[in-house]
Amino acid sequence: MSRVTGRTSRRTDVLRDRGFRGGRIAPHRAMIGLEVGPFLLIDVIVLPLMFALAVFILLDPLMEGWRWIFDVLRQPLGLPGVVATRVVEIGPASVAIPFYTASAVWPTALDLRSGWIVTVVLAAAGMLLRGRFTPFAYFLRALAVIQLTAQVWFTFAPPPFTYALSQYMAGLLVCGVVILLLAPVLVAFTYFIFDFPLWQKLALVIMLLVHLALFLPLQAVVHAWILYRSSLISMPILFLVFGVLLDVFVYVALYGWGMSWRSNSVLDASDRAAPIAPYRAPRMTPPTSHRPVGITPPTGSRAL
Amino acid sequence: MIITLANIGLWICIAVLAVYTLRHYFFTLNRLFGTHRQPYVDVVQADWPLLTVFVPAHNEGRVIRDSLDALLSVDYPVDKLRIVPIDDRSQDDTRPIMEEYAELYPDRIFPFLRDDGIPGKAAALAEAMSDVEGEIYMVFDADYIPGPRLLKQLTAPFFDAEVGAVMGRVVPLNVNKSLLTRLLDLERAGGYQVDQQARMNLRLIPQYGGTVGGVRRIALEQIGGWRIDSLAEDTDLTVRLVMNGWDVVYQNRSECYEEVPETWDMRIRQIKRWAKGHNQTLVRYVAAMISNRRSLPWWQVVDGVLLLGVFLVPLVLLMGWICTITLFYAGYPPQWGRLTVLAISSFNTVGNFAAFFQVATASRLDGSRERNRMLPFLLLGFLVSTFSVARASLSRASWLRGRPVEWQKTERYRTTRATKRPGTGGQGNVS
Amino acid sequence: MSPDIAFLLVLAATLAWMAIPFVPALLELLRPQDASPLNAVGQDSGQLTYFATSFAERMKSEGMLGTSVPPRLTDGSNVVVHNMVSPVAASRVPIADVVVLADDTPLPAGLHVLRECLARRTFHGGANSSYRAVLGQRDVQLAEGSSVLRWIHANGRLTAAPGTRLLGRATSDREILLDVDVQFDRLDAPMVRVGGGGTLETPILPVSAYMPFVPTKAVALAPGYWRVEGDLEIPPDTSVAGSIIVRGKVVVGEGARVEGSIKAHDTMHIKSRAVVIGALSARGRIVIEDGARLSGPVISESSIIVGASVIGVANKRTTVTAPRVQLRSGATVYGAVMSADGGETLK
Repeated sequence: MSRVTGRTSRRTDVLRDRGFRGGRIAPHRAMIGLEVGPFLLIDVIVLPLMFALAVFILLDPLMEGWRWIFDVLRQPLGLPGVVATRVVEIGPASVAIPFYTASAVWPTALDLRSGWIVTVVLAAAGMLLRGRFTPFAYFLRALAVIQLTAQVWFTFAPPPFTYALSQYMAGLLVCGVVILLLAPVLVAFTYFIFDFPLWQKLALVIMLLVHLALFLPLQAVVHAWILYRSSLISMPILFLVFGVLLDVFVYVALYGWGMSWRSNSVLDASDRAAPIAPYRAPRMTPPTSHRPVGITPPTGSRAL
Repeated sequence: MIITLANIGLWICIAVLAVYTLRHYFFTLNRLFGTHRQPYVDVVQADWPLLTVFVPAHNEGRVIRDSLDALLSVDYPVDKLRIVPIDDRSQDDTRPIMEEYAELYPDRIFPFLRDDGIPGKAAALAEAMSDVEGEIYMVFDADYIPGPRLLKQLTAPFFDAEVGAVMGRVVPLNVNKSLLTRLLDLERAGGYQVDQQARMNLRLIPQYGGTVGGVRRIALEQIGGWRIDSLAEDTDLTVRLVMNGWDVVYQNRSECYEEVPETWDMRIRQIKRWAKGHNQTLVRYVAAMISNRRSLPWWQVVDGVLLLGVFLVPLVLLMGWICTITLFYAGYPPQWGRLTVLAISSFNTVGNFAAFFQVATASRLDGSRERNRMLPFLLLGFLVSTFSVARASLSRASWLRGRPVEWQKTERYRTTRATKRPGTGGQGNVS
Repeated sequence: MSPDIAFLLVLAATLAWMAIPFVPALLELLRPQDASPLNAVGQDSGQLTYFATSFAERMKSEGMLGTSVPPRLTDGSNVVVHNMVSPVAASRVPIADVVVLADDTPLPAGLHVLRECLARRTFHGGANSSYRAVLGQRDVQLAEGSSVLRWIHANGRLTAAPGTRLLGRATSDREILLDVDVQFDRLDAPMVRVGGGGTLETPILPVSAYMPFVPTKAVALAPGYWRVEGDLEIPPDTSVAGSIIVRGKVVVGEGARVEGSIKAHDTMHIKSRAVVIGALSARGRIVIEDGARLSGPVISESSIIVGASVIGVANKRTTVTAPRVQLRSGATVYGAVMSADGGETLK
């Protein structure tokens, strides 16, 4: 069965896949698909380029905004130093990435001991959680393993550590800026290909960009404070688990929500009702007359 | 040296992950916009061949009645259908139930009862099939509930003389039981609605899954029958059929209910079994598949290799993270690009490595858009699966030539029996 | 404010901001809106008369099959009765009511019925009319230029005049007779025939009447099962016993007989008077010339052209299926003709 095709001018063709109450009759889900429309290329190429360009243009004010957030929060958080900037080349643009000049120290003996306790607690929780908490158990075990690497490193490796807090923070934000630039492209290839109305497509991208624009600096501030207070021993776990992975996590959540929106086109035809209760075969009633027979065991098994 | 190795290792991991991600993106695009190949789904009238339906069972007392009731209700010529439930040393009431049905329907149900021989589903099927004549063999696991039209739909492709095996779509029945079942429902949707159908569209290698499907007897005999020492006898069969020039067909329209694992423990056992079986098949056939390229189109060879390697991908992802950690400590943090690929690859499903966008696409095509909100939870499922598959992939069973395999089955939870057929609802009411 | 408190506030704000996109996910987890299994029953798949049967049952329950017809259905839809005493008037305005034809009175031309029609006797449609669906309890005769949008079923014979468009499903319990220039999607009847004349049914001779032919370049997969690399032409008046997979084009020569199924990776050409007792399937086009006899099914991933030949037998219905199907005058199919992208009848 062919998928719903483009409309012709014939009235009958317009009516053929309309329900008698006016709703749209869609093909079975096994057969349904989308048409390549004239706007697909525009949506997938032009729109993300426009958004990327917009982000480029707005980078300077955005960095100013981030700098302001860092400025406002520095003193209440007790972070020494100032908010500095470093100019980083990202593609054709020079971006003034703000960061704290505070530094994180090499872990002291107390920091190491605390770290070991945290590692043990994570591992123990990871081993003890069971049943429906199994995924969280695995997550805690993963955290424990990563923290263990940090414990081992900082126990046996000599200072200094390769990364300073300022460098780390700047690196995190550079990552974030690149994600901001590429987010529209990612959305284009995974969301714009669908038949959502334009306003929904724009809404998803804008929500994602706005969310990341605020989340990224807050994330950096939180990381900075933890590093400053707990020492460099927290850096591996922050970088590997609570950095880019969180940003992608946010994107997937928004994307999932966006993909649950109604599109008012063939994939959301009115008769595509919600799934119903599952099929149950009728209970078989035995025939009224039958001759009782024993089971004839086929060759290959023992007779009963 | 370590830095160089870690760097190279990370690039290799990224490359593998990128290949699989692009592959699945391509499948998604094809499923959305490509021409659907379902040439056999409209065969509604025919001189239907003799069909034997096997239902292998080991301690399936909770579910076997529903399966047999469904098979007895199917729309298929009664004189052309034999139902062979296979009991292999069950300790519950599976065998008495089979005996009961055989007494009630002596001309339709022919139990095959095993008390000795090599244990395991593949061995049971091999023994039962060697004893039964017929053109087409269908296999349904004991917890599956075929609909009335399913057998004809699954038999229709065999009118194409080149078709060696057919696979239908598996639809989870117990979706709303837990977070896990909902995640597995998403995984199945991505795997069947998009992945399998795209491979069918592109004439790649749809996989025969060992249930909700069938095999042509001549083809089975020609390739040497079932491998009884394989944990993934279905994957093994798929590869051997394709390498011997038979087609494996996937029919998206032919849907059947199954029960997915409801607990994480069961899921871990299931995924480890699949991983070991798949890796066994990889070891056995990857070289032969690559060297078979003269008789197979190159795109099938590529897809076949990627298919065989799919359960190595979680291991690759873990290696990627290990390399990342190593480089980080060595003072060379991976650039944002590689980190982002690793991060994105952590939102996938295992089994077919369907990326999150593939899963979301499948749900939209199914008309179940609202369950897409659950996408972020894929990370949890993938976390569990990744470590489980990695452990399985590092076990000896994955790589050694196997010894015969015991029954490995998913625990059953069904507590209610079949009742009346529900109202038709959905598409059935629309004219 | 101490730095620790300040940090907790910042952390709380960050987590809250981060959590916002996850709210829909958490709501779906805690209060599922979409957690039921898909409807995998497939009640109507493979049964083309499903809608007609459902409609008939509904009409029966609504009392439409009795001696008096209620003016309204239970869902509020109006019912219009058409008979000799009160015929439906010709009108360009579409009729949004269910139409019950109480007798054989023909409908006027140019009607557009947006709902179903139930014909208690023979249905005589008017020219250039369109109907959403038609259920005929006896014969159904569609006049020139008619269109049926979703389904049509005749308990008796269904005939379609030139210019008819049978969209969706067209079924009959007896036979479907199509004139030329008829478009269709899916047909199913004990017999489907194009054109008024009969069809030559080539006699099926015993195997001994043919010269046996074994394909060269064939690899035997099993007794009576071959694979051929490249093209295959079965010479005229020869016979082949067994199924063949051809990785190229297939030509079954005039008067040849094949007892087995044939698969072609390319096109397939069945010449006149050829007999194939088995299924035909091809990735490319299948052309069936006049006088051929096939048991079917016939499956193409491209198109099928059926000449004045016979496919299927009266007591063993079969299927002809392809994205596009052309039935030429004299074509006879015992069973179903399925054309996903549209079929047509030609001279």
